[in-house]
Amino acid sequence: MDRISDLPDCILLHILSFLPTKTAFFTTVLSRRWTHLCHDLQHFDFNQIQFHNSSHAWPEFYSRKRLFAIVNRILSRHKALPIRTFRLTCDLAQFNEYTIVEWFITKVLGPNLQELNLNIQLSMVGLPDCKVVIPNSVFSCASLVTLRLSGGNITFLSPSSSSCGYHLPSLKTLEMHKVEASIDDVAELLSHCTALETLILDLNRQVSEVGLRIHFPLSLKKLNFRSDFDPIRIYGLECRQQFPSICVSNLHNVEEATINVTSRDFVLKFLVEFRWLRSLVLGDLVFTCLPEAPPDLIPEFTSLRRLELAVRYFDTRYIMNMLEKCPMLKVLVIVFITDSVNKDPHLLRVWEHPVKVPTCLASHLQVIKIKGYLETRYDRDFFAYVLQHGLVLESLDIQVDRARAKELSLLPRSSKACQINFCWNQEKEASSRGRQQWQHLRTLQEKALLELLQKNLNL
Amino acid sequence: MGSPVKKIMLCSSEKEIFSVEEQVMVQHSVIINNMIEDGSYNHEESKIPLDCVDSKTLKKVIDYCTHHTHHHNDNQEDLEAWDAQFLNVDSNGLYDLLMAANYLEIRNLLDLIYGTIKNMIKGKKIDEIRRIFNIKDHGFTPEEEEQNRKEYPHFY
Repeated sequence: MDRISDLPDCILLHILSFLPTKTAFFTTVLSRRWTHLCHDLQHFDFNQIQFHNSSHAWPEFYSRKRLFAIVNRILSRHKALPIRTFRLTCDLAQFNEYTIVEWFITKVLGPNLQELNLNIQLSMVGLPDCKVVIPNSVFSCASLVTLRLSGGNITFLSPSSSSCGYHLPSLKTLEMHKVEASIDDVAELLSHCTALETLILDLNRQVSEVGLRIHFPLSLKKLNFRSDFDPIRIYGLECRQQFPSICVSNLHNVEEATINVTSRDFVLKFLVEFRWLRSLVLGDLVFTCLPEAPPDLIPEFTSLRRLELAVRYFDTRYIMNMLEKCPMLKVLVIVFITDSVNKDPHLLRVWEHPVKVPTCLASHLQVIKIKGYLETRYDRDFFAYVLQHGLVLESLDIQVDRARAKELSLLPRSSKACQINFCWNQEKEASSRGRQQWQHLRTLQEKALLELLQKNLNL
Repeated sequence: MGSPVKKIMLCSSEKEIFSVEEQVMVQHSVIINNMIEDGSYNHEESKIPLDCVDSKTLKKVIDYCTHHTHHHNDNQEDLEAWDAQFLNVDSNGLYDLLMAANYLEIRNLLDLIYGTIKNMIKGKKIDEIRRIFNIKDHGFTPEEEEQNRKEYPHFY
């Protein structure tokens, strides 16, 4: 019995909405039941990569042209049904293409739009000064739940210059990567997102004014903040005292946070604002400043369950200091950032025996994961220590070579249940070979898909 | 001892009765949440009839909601592994679950199932998809089918 075709249209359409729009059109030849479904799609997901055709001399140029032609045709034809989702990933080169994308945005905006997702990169041959200007009406789209803007050539106008007021009462997720906007404009935008739960900000622009204030929406549950803003680097060391204000506030309800900033003061401002944090990730930029901070400046995280630290070398003091601050910690993840140029052995920190065993080791810490591991002389002491004092430890996952694995597995453990899991790196190679063959098959399929899509639109 | 956990009764299409923690269902199912909130459910007498959900499926749905309530704090990888194991059912089982989750409006279970079905389509050939979904009668005339196969040989 063919039960999938018995499902109501709305469910089948929902399944199709999870697929890239081009792939969704593939199902038109599956069976007659599916043929007309695609014309009722309310969710659109376009990615330039899918429109590549390697037989052209300028594949990038042609794929963009084809992508635009198809989006254009769908949007012009699409009258009856309201659009709920619009995702577009492409790169731009010519001046007029920016206008086209802006036209797409105005076209999809409406009282039913729930997700707008733009990933616009600058093409290799593109004009660096061109920007896609997000129309102000996007920021007053009351139905919008998810807004993702990504790419260095997206910008939006300063809120003060807008005549229509910002109003995003339904917005739950806001993501901005490398968007060209001053931090004040972003802060202003945030003040209008009253229901925001997830915020991902990746700011690569230095702030122009002296001062940085962000009042986050109180509803915020998940925060991912990255910025290489460093007041000392911009204003010099002497400014440290009078540097007026880095102020972040309203982070009491945040449960999951990822912080990646270069300035120590900046990190600490965030850390002291959190109250009920359950999961914390401190990125590699933090590793350049926080390990040197006096431990008493770091607050205690009484509800933290999971801590992930990115490190460039095995800084056991940093790790132990952080453990000390997290009495309820269950999971500790240490990620080595291997692209580091700094492999200076003098940077390695000699193991210092902690004065006091961190509370979490004796009572809560169950899992330790070490990823992308770089061996050092002092790591054995660290592992010996956690295995000896980790009374409830259940697993230690680590990537090492076999000789080293044997040595570590012989270390005495206090917790009888504790497993040490060693992962090897060999599986990766085998899978990459298989992937190449698969890729070739995919290109053939993709080409045929495109023809089908074009044919369907002509109907 | 804390106060006893509040329970509600769910009745499958076979009239089998399942007793579940109220909190578990309220948290996951929009429909049950609404019923409890508007007072149409009486804790002493009533049971919630779910005429279009059979016992086997209902048991699975309850398993899902219970696990996701009690293991809410587990890390993402563990939860995903559990979900994958949970959805390791045949395609009939999957449709039953889909219809049940749709009826009870269990959003995260729905998304999980949609995602699974999506992966059954993505990157596959038409013949494979027809086999997976057991589509025997595609409804095209032999000529149309022939035409499609000729035009898009890479799909089949």
